Amino acid sequence: MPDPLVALDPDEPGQTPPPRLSVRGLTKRYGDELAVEDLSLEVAPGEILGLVGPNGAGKTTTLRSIAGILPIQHGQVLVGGYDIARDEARAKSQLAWVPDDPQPFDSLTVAEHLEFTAHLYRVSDWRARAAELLELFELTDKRDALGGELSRGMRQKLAFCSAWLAHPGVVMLDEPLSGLDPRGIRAARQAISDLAGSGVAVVLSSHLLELIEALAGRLLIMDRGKAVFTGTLAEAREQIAQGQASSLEEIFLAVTEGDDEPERAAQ
Amino acid sequence: MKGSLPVLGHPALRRLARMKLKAKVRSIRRRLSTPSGCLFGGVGLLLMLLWFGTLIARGWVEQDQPIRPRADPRQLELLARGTLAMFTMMVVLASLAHRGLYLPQGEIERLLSAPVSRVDLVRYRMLSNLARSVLFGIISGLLVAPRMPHFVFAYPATFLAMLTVPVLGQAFALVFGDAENRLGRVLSRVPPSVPRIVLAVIVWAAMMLFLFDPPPASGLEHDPFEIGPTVDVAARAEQGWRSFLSHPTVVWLTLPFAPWAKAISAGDLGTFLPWFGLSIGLFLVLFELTARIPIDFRELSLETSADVARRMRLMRSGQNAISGARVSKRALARRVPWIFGRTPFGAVAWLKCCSIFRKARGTLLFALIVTALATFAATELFPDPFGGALFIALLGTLYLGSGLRFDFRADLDLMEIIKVWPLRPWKIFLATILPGALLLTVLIEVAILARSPLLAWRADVPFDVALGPRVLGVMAGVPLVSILWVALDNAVFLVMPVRFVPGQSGAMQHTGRTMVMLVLRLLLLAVLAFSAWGLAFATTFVATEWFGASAGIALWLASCAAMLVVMLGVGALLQAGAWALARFDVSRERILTG
Repeated sequence: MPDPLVALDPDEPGQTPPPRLSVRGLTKRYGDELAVEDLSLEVAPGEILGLVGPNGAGKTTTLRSIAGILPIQHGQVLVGGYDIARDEARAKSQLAWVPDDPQPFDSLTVAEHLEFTAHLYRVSDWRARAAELLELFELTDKRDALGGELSRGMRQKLAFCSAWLAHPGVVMLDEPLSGLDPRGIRAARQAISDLAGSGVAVVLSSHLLELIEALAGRLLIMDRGKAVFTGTLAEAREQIAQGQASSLEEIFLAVTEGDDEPERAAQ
Repeated sequence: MKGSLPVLGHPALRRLARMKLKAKVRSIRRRLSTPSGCLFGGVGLLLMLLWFGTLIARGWVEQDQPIRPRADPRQLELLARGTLAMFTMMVVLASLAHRGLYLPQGEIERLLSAPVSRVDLVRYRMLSNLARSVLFGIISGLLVAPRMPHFVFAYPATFLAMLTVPVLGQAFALVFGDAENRLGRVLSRVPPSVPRIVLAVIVWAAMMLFLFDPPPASGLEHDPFEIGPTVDVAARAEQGWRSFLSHPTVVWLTLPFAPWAKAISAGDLGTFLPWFGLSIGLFLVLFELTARIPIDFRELSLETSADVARRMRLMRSGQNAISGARVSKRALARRVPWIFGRTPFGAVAWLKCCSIFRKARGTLLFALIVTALATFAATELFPDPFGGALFIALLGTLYLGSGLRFDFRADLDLMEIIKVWPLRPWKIFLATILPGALLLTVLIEVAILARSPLLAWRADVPFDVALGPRVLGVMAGVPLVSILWVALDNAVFLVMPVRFVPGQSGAMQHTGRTMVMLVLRLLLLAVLAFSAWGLAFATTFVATEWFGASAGIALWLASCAAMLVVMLGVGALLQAGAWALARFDVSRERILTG
């Protein structure tokens, strides 16, 4: 298999870059309960996919399955061209996952978390980059603080630093702004945008529809484990709001309310 | 609150208590609804019934003598007073660590903000505690009553005493916890670890006292401590305990416990009834007085609740109180070496090393003390160098292996992160268990090495014999056996990642599960040991009978064959652990603990 990072170069002229993340027919059950049903999605390099849906829609289960945290029961997940079920280590080496409530290691300091991450993901010359990230997320003063001493917002910032440091091809963020102060929110939004700008494929799951509207190039709306809409915001306005200038909130409510709504997908 | 007794508390809180009880029953039913829950619950119940059965049968046997004129009633009363005083002291010391009124974290904010008086909150909490004390009272009654003159009198009196002492503990928790109280201010400077250590020492002393059975004391035909084997040390301790209890100061100090003690040690109905009636009256007065102590406990309760929640969280994550301790600045200043290299594998192992070096100093100290004791015991009990080395290796692996948990058993909360690491599962599994197994190996090897000069000193065994080829053979096998046991523990844990915190429901299942798992693990080890022995035997036979090899060469070949089997076992367990890690479902873990 060719080096996927070379093969997926988005700047190669005259060629549509292949998706950096590709999910086909993903299905996940918890006992008799169907959490995710036949879900497919693709995220290209530099693209931000906004994942939205009501509580219990299956968003976190989807993200955890893609990240290899939950075993894949049915379907296929390719990260940078590598199958997460068959070539797990290589697929995971290109992926960074920021959960909704990141738990740092109690016995490591903030700086040691980055040292650990650098060696885990074989990042060379990481020290300068680590210092930059600590500065970016305002954690420089906390570099010697233990993981167990950090507040909720600082844990989130540390998770960003660890994710960004590993130079991933795909970053998945579950409610990334939880616990952040206004300054932290602004820095995180900018950092996510810059990350996508550098060619990283981002999957962003959040209930903050304004954040999704501002950052995501494409949307995936889930309800009861199924994708009920996939496409751009403009396509959503075209298909769901009949071309009217509706907000994402109105679109979201239109798509997810009622049991008998037909499934919609713009392909 | 019309139509209800104030002593029973606010109607809404009573309803809450009833609903919690219903939830408990529902939870038990749910646990019993699965085949594994049924099986483990059944085994746990069987073990508990065996224990209870023994206690009850013993009570019956001794009930043949309803009144024991040979027993000295005054001695028995003093014994009951002393025991009650000791138990009260334990409860009071425990209350120092839980100042104010403890309410679970899930309830505290809701209850403190609810339109109920603080008096009702204290009543509610004490009634909940009483409900919890019922089982303890039943067990204590079964333990104490057969040793007193009359079972029928001693049992209810002991039961009542066991319900009264927690009320006293609550009163002390409120009084000591009061920030305005001068005594509380002094006590608040006492580190929380001090009362815990004192408590542990008292519990240990009490256990030692009850576990050993002294010979009959002169001038006293009946022996109220009649349990277990005879040990001179315990006899001396018991004599000392009796003298202590008979000391005028102690008699005066334990006087407040006289009503309960007299009811417990009563030999006839005429003595029992007034003292038991007085005990009930005192209990009710004490209960209501405690509820009405004019103290604002809210801030203390919030602190206590947060502290207990933190401890529970640590326990749920698999860390005990020692390994879950905070990291000191001094420990943090030391750089932890990258023993296994600066690769992804080495990074995972380094993480574990950081845990060991920074957070487990207390655990390590304890492990060292246990190892030193085992070394000394092995020297005294096994003058044979090989037998002693084997004793240290096996006991060390089993005992220290279950105590030194620097592996997946302390990492359950981090499984979501661990599963994202870009390493093959077998590498993650090996890197996670390796530092702990290495520590175990070092401790055992040091113990075996340290025993050689001890043997030379205590048993006149020459040093070259004390550290002979067979002992060196045991030492060579220790690393493999250590990693085998740790891998087995972790693989089993990953297949069945159940976390149990004392106080949560499912104790029966937990007891049964622990027993079943221990038996299964020992069976697996036995199969492996038998296979190793079989192959070693066959190798010896073939080498000597077919090829005419000397005894030395045959022994060497047999050792290699046995080692090969153990290595294959380790390899198989690593694969099993990797499989268990790969299929580990974080959502399933939630279901099992829920």
